[in-house]
This record gives sequence, structure tokens and C-alpha cells, in this order.
Amino acid sequence: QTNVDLGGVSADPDAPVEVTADSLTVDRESGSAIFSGNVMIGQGDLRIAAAEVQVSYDETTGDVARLIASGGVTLVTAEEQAEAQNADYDLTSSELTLTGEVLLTQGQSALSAERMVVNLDTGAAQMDGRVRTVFRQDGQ
Amino acid sequence: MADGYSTYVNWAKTILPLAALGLLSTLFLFARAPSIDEAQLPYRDIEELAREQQINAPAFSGVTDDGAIVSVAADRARPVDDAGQVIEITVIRGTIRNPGGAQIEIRAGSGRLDSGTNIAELSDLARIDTSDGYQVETTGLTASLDTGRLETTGPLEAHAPFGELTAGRLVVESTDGTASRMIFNEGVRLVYRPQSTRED
Repeated sequence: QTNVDLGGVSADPDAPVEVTADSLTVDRESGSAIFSGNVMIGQGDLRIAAAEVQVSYDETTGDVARLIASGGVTLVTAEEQAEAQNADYDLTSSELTLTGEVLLTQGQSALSAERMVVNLDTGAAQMDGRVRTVFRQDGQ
Repeated sequence: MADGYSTYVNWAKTILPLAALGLLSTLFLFARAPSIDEAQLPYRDIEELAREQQINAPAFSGVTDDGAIVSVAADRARPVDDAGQVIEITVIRGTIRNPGGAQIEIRAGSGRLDSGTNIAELSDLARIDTSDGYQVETTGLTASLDTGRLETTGPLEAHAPFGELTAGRLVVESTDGTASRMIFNEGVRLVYRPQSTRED
């Protein structure tokens, strides 16, 4: 388990969340709302791109509680970039969990792992599951 | 003419709430807050509405099972074909007052109902405002009374206390009378303001 500090993460959890996509399907029976096609979630200078994002609601308040991104996810902040298969952005706890072949690039160094949990308030991140430092050859 | 007129009334008491419901269901996306469901007028009630409504001039009002008062008025309603099968209506205003107090206002520049194909169209900006701060506006919409399928003729914009949604087009499919599936396409943008930041 490795702790990493994402300096670039300064996402303001109270800033409005913007989601753009090609389409959005809302199904009342199942209560699901799914954005699909070039989905981009933006909040402050945090950007999460994904193929599909499902909106999940808080049972009691009925508010949007989580955005679950899948189909290949890219997270971009002011200074870092991370790739993974899936991401789960919990708006209520402002915690972002990336899972599946996570690759975090910070400047020259890059770390890969199975999972990375980012606290969007502080920028503190924990990576676990076969964490490895990936050396980038010069000139790459 | 009478036949044409009754087609108008048929249209008014069915399509307008259907349009309102279709567009209002857009707001389902924002939150499942009870206020939205309470403002919903299930389609099934519309049939009861048909039985109880009183008609006067080009306006009518009726009360549904759950006590929602639906009133619809128009500046002019006239059949365009001699069989009175196709009706054109101008400047439509409708309100649905729910027992709980929530009120929905519907406005459209013009409407057209073809009772042969059971297709109705609202155009020149169809707009819905609710008393609890929701507003949905679109260029117009086409709705099929048989299939309950409703489709906007152009972009749609929805405003709510907690955000805005715009989409190139909206299709609402309803099964057994209530809006069950909404597909926003041709580009969608949602801005959602988390609870803590809302200026309520």
C-alpha cells in the first residue's frame, strides 16, 4: 500500500459538477440514469473522461450521490494524469476510487497499481494492489 | 363543427397533460425528491378526467382521481379539414394544480392534433413551469397518443433549483401510462449543484 500526494488535486467538492456526453438515458423503473459516449465529468480543474457514467442517488435525500464511470477512465488534474478501467466518484464523501490497471503519471515518474483511492479534499491518495514504479526511459 | 370541437377537447384533455408529464419527467434526472413525484399526474388519471370534465368555450377543466385540477385554455381552436379530424389550436395555456399544492403550468404557441393518426404536435416553444422552481422549455414536441411516445422537435432546456440540463433532443417512452424511459441525445450537458451550494 503506497501513499501518494496528488498536488494537482484541488477539486472543490462544493463546486458544481458538470457532465457532458453524447446521450443520456433515464429509466424510471430501475431508477437508473446513464450517460454514454464521450462522457466528461468536470468539477473545478478535475476532469474525468469515461465511456459511460452511471448516476446513483442517495436513497433518503434523493440527491445525486455517486458517479460511476466505466469503460476506460482518464483522470486529469492540474499536475497529474491517471488512467484506469473504472472510477467511482462519491460526491458525498468527495472520494474518488479508481480500479483496474491504474496508472498514475506525475511528471517523469509513474506508478501502476490495481486500485487508487483519492481524497479530493486533501489530494491524499492511496494506491494498493501490486504497486510498481514504472520507469520511463529518457526521450520517451 | 361539433365533431371538430370534440376532437379539440379530446386533444386538450389528453395531450397537454401527456406533454407536461413527458417534459416534466426530465426532472426525474435531477433528484427523486418527493416533490417531483407528487407533481406527476399519472396518465391513467387522464381517462377519468375525460369523464368528469365540464366544457366551456375553448377551455375546459376537470379533476382527476387524486384531486389534481387540470385546466386548459386556448385562444382559438379550429378544425382544418372538413371532417374535423385535424384540429389546430393557438396559444395554449394549461395548469395542473395538485392536491399537495404543487402547480404545473404549460404553455405552447400552437398545437395540432390529427385524431386519424392520433399524433399531436405542440410547437412555437412548448414550456412548462412548476411552482417549486422547475422549468422545462423546448422548441416543440410530437406525441403519439397510441404509443405514448413523445419526442421534442429540437433542443430542450431544463432548469431546476439544483441544476440545469440541456440536450439536443429528448425522446420519452411511456409504458402503461407513465413516462418510463427518457433518452436525451444529440449532445447532453448537465450542471449539477451539490446540495450544500444551493441558494435555497
